[in-house]
Amino acid sequence: MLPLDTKAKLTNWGHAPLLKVADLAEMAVGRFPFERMALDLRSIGQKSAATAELVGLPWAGFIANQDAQLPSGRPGVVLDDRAGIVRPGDVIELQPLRSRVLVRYRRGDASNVLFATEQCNSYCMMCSQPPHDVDDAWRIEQMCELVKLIDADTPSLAISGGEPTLLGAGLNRVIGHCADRLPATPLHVLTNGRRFSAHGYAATFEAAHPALSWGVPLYGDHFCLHDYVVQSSGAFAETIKGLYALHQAGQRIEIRVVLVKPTVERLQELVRYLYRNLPFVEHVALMGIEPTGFAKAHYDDIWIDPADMADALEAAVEFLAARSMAVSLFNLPLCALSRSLWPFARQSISNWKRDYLPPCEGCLVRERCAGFFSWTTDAWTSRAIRTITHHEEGVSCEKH
Amino acid sequence: MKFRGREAFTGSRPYRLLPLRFRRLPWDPSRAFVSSMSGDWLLMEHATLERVIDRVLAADDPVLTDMEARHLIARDIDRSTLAPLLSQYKARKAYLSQGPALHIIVVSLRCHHTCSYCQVSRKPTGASSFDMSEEVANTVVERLFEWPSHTLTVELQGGEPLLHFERVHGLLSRIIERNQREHREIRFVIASTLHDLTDEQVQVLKTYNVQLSTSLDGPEALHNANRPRPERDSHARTLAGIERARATLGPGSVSALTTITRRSLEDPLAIIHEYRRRDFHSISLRPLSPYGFARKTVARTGYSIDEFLAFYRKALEIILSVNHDGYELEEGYASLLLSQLHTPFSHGYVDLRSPTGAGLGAVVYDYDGQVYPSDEARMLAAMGDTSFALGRVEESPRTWLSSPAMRRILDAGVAEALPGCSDCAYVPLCGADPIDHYARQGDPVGHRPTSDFCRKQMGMFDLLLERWELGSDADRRVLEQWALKAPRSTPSDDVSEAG
Amino acid sequence: MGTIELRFDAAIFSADVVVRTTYRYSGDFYTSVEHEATTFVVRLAPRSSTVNLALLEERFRTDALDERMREQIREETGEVHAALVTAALREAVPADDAGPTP
Repeated sequence: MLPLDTKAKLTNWGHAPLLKVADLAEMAVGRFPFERMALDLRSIGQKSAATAELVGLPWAGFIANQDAQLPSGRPGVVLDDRAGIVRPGDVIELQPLRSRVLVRYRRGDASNVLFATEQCNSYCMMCSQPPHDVDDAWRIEQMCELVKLIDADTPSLAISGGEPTLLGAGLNRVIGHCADRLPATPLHVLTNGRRFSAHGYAATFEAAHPALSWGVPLYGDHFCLHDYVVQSSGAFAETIKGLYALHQAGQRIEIRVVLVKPTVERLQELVRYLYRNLPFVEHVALMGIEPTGFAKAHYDDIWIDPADMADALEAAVEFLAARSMAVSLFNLPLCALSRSLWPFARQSISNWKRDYLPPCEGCLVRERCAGFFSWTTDAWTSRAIRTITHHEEGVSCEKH
Repeated sequence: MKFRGREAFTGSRPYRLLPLRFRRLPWDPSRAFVSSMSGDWLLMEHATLERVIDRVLAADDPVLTDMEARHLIARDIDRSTLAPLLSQYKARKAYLSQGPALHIIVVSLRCHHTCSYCQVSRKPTGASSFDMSEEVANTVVERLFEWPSHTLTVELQGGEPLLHFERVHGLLSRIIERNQREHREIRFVIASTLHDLTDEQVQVLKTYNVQLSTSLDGPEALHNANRPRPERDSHARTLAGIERARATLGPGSVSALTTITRRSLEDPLAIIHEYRRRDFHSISLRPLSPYGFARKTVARTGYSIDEFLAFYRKALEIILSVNHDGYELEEGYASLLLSQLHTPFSHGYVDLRSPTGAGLGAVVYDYDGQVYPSDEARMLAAMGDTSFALGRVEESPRTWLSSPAMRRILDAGVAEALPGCSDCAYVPLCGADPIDHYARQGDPVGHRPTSDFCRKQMGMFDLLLERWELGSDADRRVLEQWALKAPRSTPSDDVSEAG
Repeated sequence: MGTIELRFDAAIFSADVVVRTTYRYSGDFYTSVEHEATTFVVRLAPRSSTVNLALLEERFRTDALDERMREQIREETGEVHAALVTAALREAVPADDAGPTP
C-alpha cells in the first residue's frame, strides 16, 4: 500500500494550485508550461546540483527533502517522503491549511481516479465512500485542470464519486477535456446510472470520448432487492431505464455487482436477468465488499464469507462465460475461490489501498492475487485464507 | 438519513399481471410452462399460478419475485419498469428491422434425380428451357439491390444448380461487381446434390466464398432408395462432392440436410452414425413437406407427425449420447427452438417468424422470372396454384409487397393473432406459416387442432423442454450449447430449409 | 361411441371460454355449442374410432377452467399488451425502412 497523501511543509504559496511534479526529463519533453510544474529537486543528483539557471526558470515552485535545498523566496514543498509517495510525473494538490500534499494523479498507475463529487442520490448499505451533501461544484474546474496535467500515455482513468452524473453538464465538460487531452486513455465512469433515465441526458454523451465506458452497479433482478441495497425507492427502475438509454446512445457498459449477502442469495437469478435483459453489456464485474464506510455499520446484513458463496460464484461465472458475456471477479483473494474461478480473478485493488495478510507471506500466487483492502479486519476476512505453498494441481498451468 | 430494512422497499401497490400465457406440462400436468409476451418463461405449479391470478398469494411469496424478474407480473408499477420487457420484445422481433435478407434464386429446374418426394418440380437434365436466362438473371440482380437490407444471403438452388453452372458463375460475379458500389454484406449459399462437382467449379466457389448445402439422407442404401438415379450411385456421388468441396473450401464448407422418409423412421441410429462417420457436426432431421411431388406420393413415403415425433425422440437420445461420447453433433431444428427457449435473441430462420418471414424475410426468384414469397409458394405455383405469386422480376419490389398475394399472407401472418395460437404459451417463440397452412388445409389462417405445423411445433417444444428439465447436467449442457451457438438475426444469418 | 354432452353454468363460464375450449377439441370431434337459458351445452362426437375418449369429460372441464384463467389474464392485460406491442413496433420499424427503397 502506497498512500495518496503525505505531510508536507508548504512555504511561500499564494493560492494552492494543482502542480505537475517535474524532473529534468519532464522539462525536456516540454508538454507542460513551467508555471504548472514544481521542480522536484530530489530528482536531481547531488553532482549536477540545481544551477542558478535552472532554478531561475519560472517554475511554480520546488520540492525538496529539506528547507535548505529550496531556493529562497520561491514557493516550496518540503516532504518527508521516504516511501516515495510523491514522484516526478505525479500531479499533486497542496493543502496549506492541513500541511499536506495530496497525490491527485500518480504516473504509471492503472487506477487513477478523478473524484467528481461527494454527493450521491443513493445511499448504499456497503458504500465505501459515504456521500456528503455539500456543494462541491468547484471540483468540475479542478478535474478539468487536473486532466491538463495528466500524462498523455496514461493507461486508464476513472471518474468516480459520489455520483458523477449529479454534475449534469459538468460531467460532459470533464469528459470533453479528457477527449481533448487524453483521447487514447480508456475512461471509465462509475455511476449508478439513475440520472440517465432522464430524457435526453444519455444522448449527450454520444461520441463524447473515443474510449469511454460506464460502470453501473446492479444488486438485484427486481426492484425490492436493489432498492433495499442502495436504500433508495425507485432506484432500480431508474438504473434499468438509464442502462437502456446508455445503450441507445451507443455507450459501452460494465455491470458491477458488489457481493453483499442479499445479492449473493439471488446471484444466479441476477446473472440470468443480465443475460435476458441486458445482453449488450460488455463486462460483468462481481466484486468483494470494500470493508470501510457504511459497510462497517452493516456487517451483519451484508457480509457473507467468500467461502460460503463458492457455489453461487461458480455457477454465475460459468453461466455468463458460456454466454460470451465477459465476467471478472474483483477484490477476492485467490485462496478463497475455487480453482476454476482463478482465470476470472483480477488484481482489482488499487495499490494505494492494497495489502496482504500474514498467510500471504510465501504464498505461491501472491503476485497475481487481488490481496486485501488495507482496512480489512479479521471479521471481513474469509476463513478460507491460507498460504498456497506448493504446486497444487493446476497452479502452474493456469499461470499462463 | 436512517437505514431502512427490506420491508421499506417492497412497494406499496398491489401487483398487476403482465401479458402471460401458460401451458400445462404434458409430462407433469400439475405444473405449467408460463411465458411472457417476449418469451421469457418460468416453470411453476399450476395451482400457484391460479393463486397468483386470483390474488390469494401472500405479497412476499418468493414466486412473485421470480415472476416479476421474468416480466410475468409487475409489483408496484411506480417502482418497477416495463423497459426490459419492451427491450426483450424488440430483441425477439429484431428480424423485423430490415427488409428481406434471404434471396433465393432458382437457376434451373433441371435435376438428375427422380426422388419420389421431391419438393421441387424438377425437370430432366437435358431440358434447358427450364434454365434461368441471362436476361432474367440480370434483372434479379438489379432487384436484389433495391431491398434495403444491409446484409443479404443469396441462395442459389434448383433443380440442380450445378447443371447450369454458367448461370451460377454469372450471378456470383455480377452480384459482386454490383456490390462494388453498394457495399452490402453478402453471403452466398448453393443448395446442391454436389454430384459431378468439378475442381474448376470448386475454384469458382472459393473465389466467391460460397457455402454449400447438400442432402445426405443417411447410409448408402437409404440415401439411394430416397434419391434414385438410374446409376444408383447418388450416395457415392454426394460423398465424393462433399470431399472435393471440403478439400478446397475447408471442413466447415458443406452443411447437410436429412429428409426423413417413411423408410428413415425405422433406423435413426444408422442415419446419425452416417453423419458422424462423414465428419458432420450438424444434422438436420427434416420431415417431408406436403409440396412438390411429395403430396402425390404421400401414401408411399408419408407418415403422420406423431410418427415423426416418435422418431425424433429416439433420434434426440442418440444424438445426445453421441455428444456424451465426446463427439459434438447438433440437431439443427432443435438448436433453433432451443435458442428461442434459452436465449433472448431473434433467430435468422425465415420459416418461424411472426409476422411471417414469407415476403418479409425472404424472396424467391424463379428461373422464369416469377417472384414468390417463399419456396413453398413457388411449389404451389408449379402445381398450378398461383395464389401466392407476387409478380415478375420486371416489376418493382413495392409492387410485389402490395400484391393481393402478400395481403393474403399478412392477413394470416401474425401468429399472436391466430385462433389457437393467440393463447399458446409457445407463441412468443414460434411463428406463423400461412402458406404452409394453405397448402395443407386450404386456408392461410388454418385450423390449429388439425394442423401438422402446429402439432410438430408443439411436439418439438414439449420434447425439448421436457428433455432439458428432466435431463442430467450433461444433457442440459449439450442442449444449452446448441441454443447458444444457433445463429442470431442480424438478418445476415438468414437461412432457409432449401436443398 | 355416440355424442358426448357437457353442460357449463353460464354464470361461471362465458360463451368465449366455452367456445375456445371446444375449439381445442374440434380436431378429434365434431362439435357444437348451444346456449340454453343459464347453461352452455357442448356436444362432442368423435370423428373416428381411434379418438382417445379416456377421461374426456375431466379433460374438457380442466381445459375449460384453464380457458377461464386465460380469459381473466386477457381481460387484465389486454390493454397493456396492445400498448407494449405498439410501442415496440413503432421503434422497431421506422417508417422509412418498412419497405424497399424506390
